[in-house]
Amino acid sequence: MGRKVLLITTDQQRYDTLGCNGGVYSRTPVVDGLAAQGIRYERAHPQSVVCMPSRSTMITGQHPSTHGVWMNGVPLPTDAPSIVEEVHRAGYSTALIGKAHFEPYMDPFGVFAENRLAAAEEFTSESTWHDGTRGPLYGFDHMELATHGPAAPLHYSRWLFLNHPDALAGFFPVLDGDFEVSAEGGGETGAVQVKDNPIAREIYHTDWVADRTIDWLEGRDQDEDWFCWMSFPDPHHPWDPPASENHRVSWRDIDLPEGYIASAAEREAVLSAKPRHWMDWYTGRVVSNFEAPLKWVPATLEADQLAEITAKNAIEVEMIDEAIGRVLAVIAAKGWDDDLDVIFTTDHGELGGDFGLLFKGPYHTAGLMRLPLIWRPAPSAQVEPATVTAPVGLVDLAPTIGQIVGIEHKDWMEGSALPVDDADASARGIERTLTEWDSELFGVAVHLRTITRDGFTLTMCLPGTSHDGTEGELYDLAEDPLERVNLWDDPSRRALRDELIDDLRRHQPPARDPRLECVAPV
Amino acid sequence: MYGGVRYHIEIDAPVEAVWERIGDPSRLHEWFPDFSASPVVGTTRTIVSNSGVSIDEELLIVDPILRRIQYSLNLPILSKHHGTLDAIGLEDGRTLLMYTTDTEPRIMSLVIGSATARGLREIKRQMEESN
Repeated sequence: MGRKVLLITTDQQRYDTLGCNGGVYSRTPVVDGLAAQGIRYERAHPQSVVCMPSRSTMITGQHPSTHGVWMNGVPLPTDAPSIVEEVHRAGYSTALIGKAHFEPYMDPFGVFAENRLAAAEEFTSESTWHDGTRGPLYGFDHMELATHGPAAPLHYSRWLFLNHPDALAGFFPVLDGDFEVSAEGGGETGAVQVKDNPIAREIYHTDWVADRTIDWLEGRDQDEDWFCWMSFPDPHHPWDPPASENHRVSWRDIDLPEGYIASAAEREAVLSAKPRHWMDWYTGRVVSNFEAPLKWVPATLEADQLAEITAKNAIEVEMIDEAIGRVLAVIAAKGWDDDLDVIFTTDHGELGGDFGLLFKGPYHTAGLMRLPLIWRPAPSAQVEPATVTAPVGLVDLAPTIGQIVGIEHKDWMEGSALPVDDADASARGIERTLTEWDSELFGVAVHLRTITRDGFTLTMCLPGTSHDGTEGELYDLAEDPLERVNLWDDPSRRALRDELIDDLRRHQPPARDPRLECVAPV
Repeated sequence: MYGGVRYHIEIDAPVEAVWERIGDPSRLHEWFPDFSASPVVGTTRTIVSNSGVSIDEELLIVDPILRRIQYSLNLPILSKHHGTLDAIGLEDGRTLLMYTTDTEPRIMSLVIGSATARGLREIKRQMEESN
């Protein structure tokens, strides 16, 4: 019997939303407890700050340039390499419950396998793996899928439609009349993408994901080896948790996030020192991030609106923590805890008011880049609790899962198994992470390449419609953790800048050729 | 907001042969995914999906000299639509096939365009398998 693996992910969660990471808005005792027993990573970065490329990195162990999912709307080929296929091959039962999003949701022709499962009342389909083997989709023999509401053709939507149709209208409508991401406001402040959702907590997707995970776990034999990816859609916008939970965090009683600059003049001075796409989006001149509402202009964000969004986000984080607690209690009752590895992380962060911005986009700063990551190794493995400050990435998840299960490192994986402490990181030369952004749509193209190492984050803006290739960002993460001082043009940092660029170029994988097509909206 | 997407593919077949396959608008269903029929009456083409749904299109251009077909879908959710298929002969005897979809609202161009991308791949498959 091997070690069992519970991979828990959320969507668009900031590092500083957890108590163990210094968060002040939410109570997260369950995840904090895992951190206390295991390894807490202080500098975990995604390889892309949007969902589909980042999730593709988790499962393939590859950077976006290699797996080819360069932007939301580019589906991960069903024959891409997948660590879950290897885990399945090793004899494990494998499940993904909640948000997958390796393929786009807007799919009127029913092209994508994920979207066909619910209507067919199925939980996986057969596909051809990267090595020609036929097996379950991406290696999962059970996929029970959900997203942020009822809009997509997934299992949660279908369940809600069949059993609780009255609840459908309570969610925030994610698309407007032009099928763009909606900029509608709600709540008490008119905050963008906020809605008081009358849905009962028990049927909201957070609890549904936990319930379905528990149901799947209850179906496992005592001696069965299993890998379960429990993937919560929250706290990604829209911020529409059950209104019954509003009492948990009052927006009137919280301080605004540290990254928010209250003075408009100061805020705009900071933004002006960054590459031009920052200020262009802030003022609404150019939208280069198709994941944010097209018709919302960040400069219009009011302090009370940010407070309400922060509170709603905190409520969603608390609900997730409690849902995880329910699942872990079932696992403990089954007697599996001693051989259980738990990994908790998210796919990317949320700007959350940093520099007056919300949502995500081509902005490689801490709000989007610094992720919560906790690995609680199986107690039977006797790994000492630790805090790791070395930079690690989501590209390291697949090798870590492989190591836990006992699978030898595969050539197609570009990451390394997560270090158990800084000495381990140092001994294995784990010292940098790379993050990519590519977007090209409707006449706007932005391309970024970022490296984090030695306490600095450097971003190169490659040529596109906003940049000519000379702009960039450089931040000293120790001296300037809020990344307000761009050192890119500081002559005294020129040598450092050149060294980091050289290191980035030497380690950045080449882009997949030919490039995969973007075939659907976000 | 009006906007569009464009997909292209290179086919190892001469442009004359490719045009013979795509230049008759009533044969669209033979290579465009998910359609079972595409009869043409006057300048109206009716595309019939495999699930039986019919949608009318206005044929705007069928030009065998430019080797271009352009049409407009009549759907309530589209205030504007132009689909344009161009076949261009390359010097090495192969063909560049280009499919442009412009719509208002622009997001629908990606939804419709994803099908055109699959259509291009199907034409390539058919032409190269028949070589």
